[in-house]
Amino acid sequence: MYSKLKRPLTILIAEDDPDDRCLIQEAMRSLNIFDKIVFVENGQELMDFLQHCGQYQGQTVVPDMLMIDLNLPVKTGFEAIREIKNSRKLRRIPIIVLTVSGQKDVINAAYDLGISGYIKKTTSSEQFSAIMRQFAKYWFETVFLPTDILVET
Amino acid sequence: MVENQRSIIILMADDDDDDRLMAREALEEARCINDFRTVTNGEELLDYLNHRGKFSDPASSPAPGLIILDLNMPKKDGREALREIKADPRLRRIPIVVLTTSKAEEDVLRTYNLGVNSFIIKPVTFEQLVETMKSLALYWFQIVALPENG
Repeated sequence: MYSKLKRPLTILIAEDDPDDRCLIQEAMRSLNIFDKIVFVENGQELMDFLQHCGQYQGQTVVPDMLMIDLNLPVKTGFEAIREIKNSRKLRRIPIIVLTVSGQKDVINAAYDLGISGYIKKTTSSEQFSAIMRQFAKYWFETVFLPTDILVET
Repeated sequence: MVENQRSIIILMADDDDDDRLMAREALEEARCINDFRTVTNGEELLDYLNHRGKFSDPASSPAPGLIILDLNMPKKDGREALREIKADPRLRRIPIVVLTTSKAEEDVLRTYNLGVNSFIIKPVTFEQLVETMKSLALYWFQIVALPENG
């Protein structure tokens, strides 16, 4: 029998709206599975964090998962995702889009870039928490992440 | 929430007859009502997606909404099929979930680098497979929005 080694998990969330950040943070905290929940507020900060530069020079954390709003200032979510998927080091990190738009061409374009899930934002915190619980079950119990380590039990 | 879940086709590529059967039964047990189709190797998978060979009639190969992919298959293995699919602008948006017995860390890294959307290790028992299929179906058909094929 095999199982995943329990280890600290980090999620990096790119979200420019402070109310949405609040909603997301609360939902993520109540899951009780993340050691670190890191927020950045625009696409440039997102890239700086991942590439350990700018204000994040010296920062060494590599997130296990990215959650990205498409409507980000300075650098858009699309631009950031494109750069991430073009990076040999970063492309393996699963990307989840969490955004307002439900338009087909936007969804298609995001999956074309290689995302691993597209979630439309909801204003209801209960609904969002329910979504996140199932989301967490899939990604942290069912799925094997590139950063997971398997142990024989 | 997906109104017409049945219309989303799950296409599974796996060379093992028992594994294909178990997957079908697990999906049924998980109350997954999707149209479930299978191919037995990577070559068949690409033929299906490109409407070639025995799938040249497009009616016999409607586009899948999700692909479940084993890695170790004859003729063309899952890794090669994954590479081809994710390099094809027409096909690359289709979510692919690898479901394999391989526990090799190189396989996990390599498939994520190639653009797999999720990697799942085949559970040992049928009950666990049912739980896996429940979680997979909930995520891909209820939680996230899926792309639409051109």
